[in-house]
Amino acid sequence: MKGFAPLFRKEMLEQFKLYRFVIVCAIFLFFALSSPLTLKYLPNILKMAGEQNMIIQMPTPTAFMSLSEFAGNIGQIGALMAVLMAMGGIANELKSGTAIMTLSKPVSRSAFVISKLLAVSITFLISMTAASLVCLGYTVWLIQGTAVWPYVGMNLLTGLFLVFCLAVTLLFSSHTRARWQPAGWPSA
Amino acid sequence: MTAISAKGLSKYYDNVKAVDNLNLEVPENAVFGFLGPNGAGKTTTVKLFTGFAHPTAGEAWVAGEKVGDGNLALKAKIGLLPDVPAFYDWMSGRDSLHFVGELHGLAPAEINKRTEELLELVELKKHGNRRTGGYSRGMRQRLGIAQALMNRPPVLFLDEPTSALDPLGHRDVLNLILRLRENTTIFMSSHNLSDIERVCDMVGIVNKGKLITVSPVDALQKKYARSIFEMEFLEDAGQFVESLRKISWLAEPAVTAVNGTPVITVRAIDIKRARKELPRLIGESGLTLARYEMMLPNIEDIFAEIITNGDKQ
Repeated sequence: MKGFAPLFRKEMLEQFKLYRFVIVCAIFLFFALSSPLTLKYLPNILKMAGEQNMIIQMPTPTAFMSLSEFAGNIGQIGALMAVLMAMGGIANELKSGTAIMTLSKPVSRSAFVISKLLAVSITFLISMTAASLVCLGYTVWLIQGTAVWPYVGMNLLTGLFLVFCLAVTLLFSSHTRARWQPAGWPSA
Repeated sequence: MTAISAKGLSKYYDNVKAVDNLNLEVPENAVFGFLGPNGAGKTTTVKLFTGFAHPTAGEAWVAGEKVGDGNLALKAKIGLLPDVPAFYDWMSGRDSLHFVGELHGLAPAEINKRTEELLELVELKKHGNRRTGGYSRGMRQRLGIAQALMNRPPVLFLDEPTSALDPLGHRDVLNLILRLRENTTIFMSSHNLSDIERVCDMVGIVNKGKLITVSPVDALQKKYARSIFEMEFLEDAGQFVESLRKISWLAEPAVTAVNGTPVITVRAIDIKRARKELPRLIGESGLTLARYEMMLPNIEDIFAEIITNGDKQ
């Protein structure tokens, strides 16, 4: 893996320079705040929107419901974001020619690919961890009660799933020069 | 010593022979021009030599390293300027060179020193802190040359280094190549004939994947020398032209006006005799000679002839 250190530094820097870190973090934080909020106030929202005579049976919101809803949202939205973020990872570099410039230096191809996967995975995992902690804190404050260990387990599995999505998308990205093709979009 | 050599190097894509049985030797510190029309196999050859394409058959060595996929020792000894140099737009020119230095594993002090030297060499010092996304095509080309030189490579590959440049950028890049020739072997692919004529010592002409000829540029010019002589005199040379008409080993003497100056041209039927006897005839004519020249073909004429008729044996 010759050349891994400078490639990884460059990839991490790119996560910040191109606002990828900020974007992923902001979207995850949105779901971290909206999940407990929606759960807590959904009966009120429905009451305000529906007819006065309508009877809606809603279970009492619990911390477990809030946290599992967040984990579910992150699993779905995170997977979509993972595809969007990673689909051009290698394809863009092949198309623009930066891959040739980099790989004409004494660096291994595995270092080139793994540095990308690691940097984008770190972006997702840090954002997810931050959002999970925010969601946990907000849930405790808003709904009370905790379900820490099942929540940790859910997040670990979701994180693993997101890294898997990133790896698969990067793999497809290395086999095409069309940015959207790794996301399942047919080439022209 | 040979800097670049290839033995039976071939690359086929399905039924297309992009490079067909290339045998080539480029000596150290030569500027080798690889000339051919579009689609002749120039870029594929550069890709083969730099390890970006796997040969269908044959072998190649560059700077003593066998060319092959994943040979990182080879990449430490070469510099490559692709036909369209690309950089990470968010990096400045200076950052890009730093990054390349890090990829080569140079020490931080060496990277700083080399970055400043190269920015100076390619005249980008003033723009070193600007993002490369805002660079013009000429600036990118010059930065491309700088990044290729970061490791002081013994062999430098330039793929169409002047394509799509404006006249000023074109001139700058050629001047830069002339400055580099002292301690670097340069393999330059181009379809720009005047560039090859201006900077290269040796030229290889390739067409449809096949190398047709390899020769020093001046030897090629002599080999394809036309048998035409041009003369200019300070006095009226009408009588002299008439006397040339009577000579059996000369033909078609004519007077044409170039920018108002009468220029006498004559074709030699026996070129050896003409080279020997014509100066004597001029001396005997008593006219004052202003210019006497045996016309050498330019590389464009040679290229057209070789591509159309093949190489002269």
